Formats: sequence, C-alpha cells, structure tokens
Amino acid sequence: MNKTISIDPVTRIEGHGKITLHLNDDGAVDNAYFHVTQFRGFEKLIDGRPFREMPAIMARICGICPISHLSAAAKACDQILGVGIPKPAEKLRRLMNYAQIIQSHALNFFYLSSPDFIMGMDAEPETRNILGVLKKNSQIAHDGIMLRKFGQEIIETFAGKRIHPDWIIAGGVKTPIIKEDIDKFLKQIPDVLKAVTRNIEWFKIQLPKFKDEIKTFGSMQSLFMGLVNDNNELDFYDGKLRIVDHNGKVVGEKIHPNDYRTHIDEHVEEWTYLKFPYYKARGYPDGMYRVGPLARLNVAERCGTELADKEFVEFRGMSRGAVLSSFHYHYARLIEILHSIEKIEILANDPDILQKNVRAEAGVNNDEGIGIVEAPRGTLIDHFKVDENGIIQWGNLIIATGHNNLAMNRSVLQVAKHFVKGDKLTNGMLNRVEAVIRAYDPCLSCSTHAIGKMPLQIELINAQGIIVDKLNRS
Amino acid sequence: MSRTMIIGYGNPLRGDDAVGYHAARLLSDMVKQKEVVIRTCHQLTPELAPEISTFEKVIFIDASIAEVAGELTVSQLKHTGVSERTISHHFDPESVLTCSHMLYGRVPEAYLVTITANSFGYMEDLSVPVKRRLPELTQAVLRIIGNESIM
Repeated sequence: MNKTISIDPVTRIEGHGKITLHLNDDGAVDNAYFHVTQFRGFEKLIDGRPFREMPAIMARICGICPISHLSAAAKACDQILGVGIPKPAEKLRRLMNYAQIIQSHALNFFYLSSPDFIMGMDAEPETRNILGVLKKNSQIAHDGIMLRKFGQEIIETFAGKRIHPDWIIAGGVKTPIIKEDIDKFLKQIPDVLKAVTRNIEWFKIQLPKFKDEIKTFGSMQSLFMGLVNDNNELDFYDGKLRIVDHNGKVVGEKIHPNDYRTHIDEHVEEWTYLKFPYYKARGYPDGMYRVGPLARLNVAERCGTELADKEFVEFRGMSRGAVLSSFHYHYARLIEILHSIEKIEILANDPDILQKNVRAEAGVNNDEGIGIVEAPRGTLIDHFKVDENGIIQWGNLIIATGHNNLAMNRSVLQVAKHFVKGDKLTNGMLNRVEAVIRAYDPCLSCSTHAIGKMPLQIELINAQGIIVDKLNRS
Repeated sequence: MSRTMIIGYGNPLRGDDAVGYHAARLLSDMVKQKEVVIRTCHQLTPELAPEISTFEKVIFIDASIAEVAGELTVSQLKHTGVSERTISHHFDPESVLTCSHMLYGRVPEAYLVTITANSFGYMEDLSVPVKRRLPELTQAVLRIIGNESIM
C-alpha cells in the first residue's frame, strides 16, 4: 500500500511551504513534492503603476533582500529611461548589494543553519536556534551577530533604513554619501574579516561530520547559472549570464541580460504557486539549473579578490567538475561573505563613491526594461513593459528561489529516499528534509511573492491518498 | 541620569502592532537628553544585543495581546535564558537580554511597557482605545527614564 508523508510547515526558511512524501508498498519514498502554498502576485499588482515606483514596490517583496529587488528594478528602469547611470551611483549600488549579501548570508549561515552544524541534525528542535548556538559556541554566535550587524548598518546608514529602503531609484541613487560614514565601516573591516575567516576554517573542520548529508543533500547533476564580469569573475550587480554543466563545461556564455527569455522559460505545476524555470535548450525538466552561492562559485573562474580567491581554489578543488552537493551552499555562502567584505573595502577606498553626481535624469525613452542582479539567493530578473507615459503594462519577475525550484524538489526526494523509512516521521528525518531546503536559503515570500511566514509542514500519504502521518511546526 | 535606550517596535502597517513605533516617535520629540537614545524597528533581532549591552537601562515598548484593549502594563525584565519561542522571526525582549548577558557579560536594567492592542488589521493608524492611552504610556516611560519608582 502506497503512503504519503507531509511536512507542514518547514521551519527556519523564509515563507510558507509544505512537503509531501509519497511512499510505495515497501514503505520506501517513491516521490517528493515541495509545495509553496501562498501567493502574492506582484506581477499583476504593478499593472497600471508609474515605472518610477517599481524599485520601491519591488523592495516590498522581501524584508531580507530588499536591496537586490531595488537594484534589479532600478536597472530595468534605467533601460526605460535609456540612460547610463553615473559611475558613483553604480558603485554605491554595488556597495549596498555587497552589504546585503553579507547580512543575508549571515542570517542563513549563523542564525538558521549553524544550529544544525553545532547541535546536530538530530538535536531537539527547541535548542536549534541562535540562542542554542550561543550556549554551545558563543564565538560563532558573536561572529554571526557582528557580520549581520555590519551589513545591516551599512544599509541603514546610506539608505535610511534596514528594511525596505527606497534609496536606489531609476537613474541612480537618491543622495550622495559622506566620508565620515564610510570611514566608520572601514574601521570595522579587520574585525569582520577575522570573523568570517575564523568561521570558514571552523566550517571546513566540520565538513567530515556531514558526509551523509553532503552525499544526499542535492548531490546531483544539474546546470548552474550566475552573472560573471568580463574576466569571468563573480559579479553580483552586473555582467553577463553564464551557464555551466555538472562537469564544469560552459554551455551558455556571455548571455546578455536582455536575452534571458531566449534561454530561460518557466513551467507551471498545479500543486505549487512557485513556477519552475528551466534552461530552454534542454527542455523541461532536463533543463534544471541551480543559482545562488554554490552556482556562482561553479560558473565563475575566480572571485576577483585576494582572500576569497584562495578559498575559491580550495572550494573548487573538492570536485573535478562543478561542486555538486547543495550542502556546499553553506561553504560557498561563507566565501561570498569574505569576498563581499573585501569588495566593500575596495569600494570604500575608491574616491568615486564620494562624488555628488549620483543620478541621471531622463524621461521615457524605451518601452521595455530588463534588470538582472545577483541577490543573496541567486539571479534576480525584473522585466517591465511601459506605455508612452511610463505606465506599466506588463511585468515578469523571476526570483532566485524560483530558479532553484526544480533542484529543491529533486533534493528533497534524494534526502527523503535516504533518511525517511517506514510510515512514522522522526525529528531527525524531518529536520534533514527541512535542512536540504534551508541549504538553498529559499525566500518563498520573494519567489511566489507570498506573505512572509516561517512554517512548513510534512505529510505522509499512502497509495489510497490517505494521510498516515503529519508533522507541523509553527 | 543613566544612559538609557528606548526601543519601540512593531509594524507600522498593522494598526496597533505599531504602538511602540508611534510611542518612540512621540518620545523623540519629548526627550532631549543626550543620554537617551531612541530607536524604532519592525522586530527585535539579536543584532540589538551589542548595542543594548552598552546602556545602563533599556525600555522596550510593544503591543500586547490580552482581553482588555488599551490596558497599560509596565514590567521589569530579566534575562531568562533560552526561550523555546526563539527563532528568527520571534525574538522577544528577554532573548535580547540573554544575548547581551551571554555575549558581553552585561545586562542593562530593563523594562517592557505595553498597551493591549485592539486591532492588528492593515492600517497605519492606532485604534481609538490604544491611541487614548498613548499619553499615559509616554508618561510611564518618562518616569522610568527619570528613575522614579512606578512599579
């Protein structure tokens, strides 16, 4: 008799989702579905609004990565204006995106995921939180809080507030910055660099303890996609899309952001609000690809900063081709924090960012604009069409978590097949199924544009469609 | 006067949830002493711990859920160890104090001042029963700042 397990809600992720695990007659997992159960519909909400409102409206999609949403939308609006923005404005947008990568990655690694690394996957859920980490390893908690604070305070200082600022606008940024403010953060660079390097070393020592998880947490062949600059280095703000396969072989190169629709399509399944983007050349579902920290380090040839490049070599040395296990999103996340701090130091010492010319003015010169940036969770695409008055006629948003949807589903199945046995769920099973999703750091609120809630549930369903076990966390 | 931090928190788009936010803004106009720092935020997070650990006194202002809308309460807080509710979206004042204690070895004298909410609906204004008690709430906070016993 076939059965299904349902995990509902999944915890320590952003947004609301549910997992159902279908068992066969032998009690083994046959199939798995990661359902995203809420909907916000920003693509329809923006119809009829002036295009200049897009950055501020898009920022409202997410409280964790509003800077990326601001930046992608502003870049699309720059195209509608038909302007190249002043160099200082571009550097300030980059600075803010690095700050956001740091704070968002710190949130995932230290607050949400490190409890699993420190307390273990089988620990009681009540202890698996940042205060549990504090009790067990206060240095890690201290470093996590310091790194997140560093990123948050840069955003607050320059953009006015940590959550949903509206400082990045069509044509540039609203106001220039002052030297005293940037110097304040330059002074903190040695401490935050030490904090992240200490944790990279610590995490590398932990990896052998998670051999099973590394082997089963989305350790699979897929494509990887991300932005790179002209030197094929990491670029979180601009550049061209690059796609590599599991061997690390480049299958798509120098894809201009404006051509994204030639290469990417979206598939819809009736059991989830989250769409399934795929690489068109390989069709659905074979065109499955991953985005985000793991993918970025797989598509780039180097990071482009000294310390991060040393780690990059070690990271890529783990595999002959691309690094395939989604467990290594965590490792990649730490390397990206390191890279972002180094980049912030470079930008903070660049006199350009203190220039007063931070905004280009223009009217509606194009009826379409596309903006692509790398958000903490991966490639973020904003695409708008406007009428002659700049009123939005159509919008398409492909959010990082959406790109990873196929891979997350495949990963849940892989983990469930390995860890879930019988028709009863244990906390260890539940947590590993959740943890593989957490490795992708999905923002379900962003990707379906759903109301932000943490929880997720698991259901176990038999061949007759009867729920035989259910676990809820709220 | 002891160095004091006031943290008014809540969502300004969800009606009475923002009573702390509104109270903090009112207090910003009323309190001019440089020893008092006033902040607003949507929710409490661990990143507040390093900052509060440098103050002698901290006053949290929030909405509460109870039977009688508009009811004002003032309570003194202690760091209580790890709360079961502590996940990233539910960080309470005691958890911030615990973080401060465990990471920096310091915990300020701490108070929580609340008004019972009437509505958490989608609105930018406070409900009438909550708005009516706002002056009393600010007076209560002023008394704590002045070190006057109100318990």
